[in-house]
Amino acid sequence: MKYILETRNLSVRYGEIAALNELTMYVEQGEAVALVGANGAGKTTLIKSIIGLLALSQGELLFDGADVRAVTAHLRARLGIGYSPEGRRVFPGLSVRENLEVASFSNAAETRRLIDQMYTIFPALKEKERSLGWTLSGGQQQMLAVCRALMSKPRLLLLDEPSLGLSPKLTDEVLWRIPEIAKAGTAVVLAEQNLTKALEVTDRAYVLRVGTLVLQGASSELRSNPSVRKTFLGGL
Amino acid sequence: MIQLLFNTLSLAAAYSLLAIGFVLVLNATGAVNLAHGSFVVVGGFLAAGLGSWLKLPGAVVLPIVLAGMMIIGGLLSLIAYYPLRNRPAVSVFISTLSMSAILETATLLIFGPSPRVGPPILSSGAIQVGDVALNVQSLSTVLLAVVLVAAQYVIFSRTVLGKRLRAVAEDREMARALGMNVNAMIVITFGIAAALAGAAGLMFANTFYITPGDGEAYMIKTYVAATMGGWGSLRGAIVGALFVAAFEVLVPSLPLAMPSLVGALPSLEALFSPIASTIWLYLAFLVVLFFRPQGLFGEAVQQRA
Repeated sequence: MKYILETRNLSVRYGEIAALNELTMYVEQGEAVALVGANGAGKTTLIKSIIGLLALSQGELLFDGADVRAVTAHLRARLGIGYSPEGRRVFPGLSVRENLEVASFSNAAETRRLIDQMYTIFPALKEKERSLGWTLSGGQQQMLAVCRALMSKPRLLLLDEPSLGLSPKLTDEVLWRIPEIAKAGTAVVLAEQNLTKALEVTDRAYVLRVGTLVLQGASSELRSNPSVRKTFLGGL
Repeated sequence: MIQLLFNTLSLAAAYSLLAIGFVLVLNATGAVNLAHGSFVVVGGFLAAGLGSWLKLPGAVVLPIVLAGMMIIGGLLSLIAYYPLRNRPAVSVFISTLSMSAILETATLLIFGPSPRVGPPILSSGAIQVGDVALNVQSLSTVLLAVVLVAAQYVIFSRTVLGKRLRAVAEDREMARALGMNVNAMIVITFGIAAALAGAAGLMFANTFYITPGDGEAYMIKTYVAATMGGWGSLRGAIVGALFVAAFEVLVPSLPLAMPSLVGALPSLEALFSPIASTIWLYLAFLVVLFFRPQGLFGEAVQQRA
């Protein structure tokens, strides 16, 4: 079985500090996988090392079976990795439509079709089409960041903390798109602090604690596993 | 008086091209390109050289100057910016300063030290509009600047490449993570900036003389225009350019426009000399910075509360 994403003993260090310790994980085509853990568990570090914004200090990283350690971030994105970062980071001076356009590498007609498709996923964006990124509410920015990551038609979508700063209602609206996206053929890696929600919308999950993998399994099973909650509450 | 305002406008138009290019690079890289003034010199000599060799007006020579300057600007970014892109901003400060010395010395070696005159954009005469005679060079300078600024606007707001250039200027890391080739975008930005500055050089080379050492003066005026208008603001760059040009043209001509002023204070005539106008400009610049440190148009993109 060829995985869309696989890490083997992946480690990342910030100077002397180990942020991720020999992490081994995989994501299958078309499945949604959650990375859960408290603040500082290494979720963002892992996501950033997958897209190529952080270098591995050790270990292997395979995308669609190919070693991508030496591939720079912009080429990894072109290979088929979509990235929605923590804090959304929409382009503030670009309109909603422009934010989507710049992230598409298809021809003009296909780009228009993709944008219309995004507007059917989140109709709120269509109403704001001409508004500049910075004028959007947090929820709208999050929707835009997710759609922008989908514009390159990725085979793997990385979502870092999409619920951050959103109301419970908006969180639901964003997170409940994940099973649909996965079903449509794009594997999803969701980094979330919101444990309950993350386990509801994914197939499998990895539980991290201070840079180390402590638990993994089907999301439905982890939901009823008391030690998951303890890992969270135990914090550091 | 109208001729005077027109000269101001024409000078401002040329300065805007300079300031816009400077701000484009500033936004795309976060670095100050101190070789920007030298692009004027190189563009001016390119125009003067081609003009006297081909015996053609500036408007015909312009596409060659634009293309040549794009290449020079792109090369400069590969030599002076690319290797230092992850270093502190001061490294790029020094490397572009070195490049400016190299560009101007190369110009000196190729063309010699004597001042050169570039070809007029269309022709060097005047046309009569009503009872005012308008200088064709001033008129065509304004027109050409408007065309170039409009072209630049269309590129940045209508083409995918232009939108990506803006995205890179706003968040380089994010642009990279979304698949944009940020390094190529920065080379293109330097190319556009150099082309605009080269066009300004073509204008100045005819209106004034151009000598290989002129880069520094243009650099300072660009810097003042960009800072006064608001660091990073394109609209501000145009307003800043207008401000600089106004001091340069209008202050020395105040005695002409208002003879009564000098009549009342004959001993103060020196205050209105072209040299003194520079002092007034920088004093006004300091006053603006004192009351609006962010410049007149600072913060084009605001933070949502």
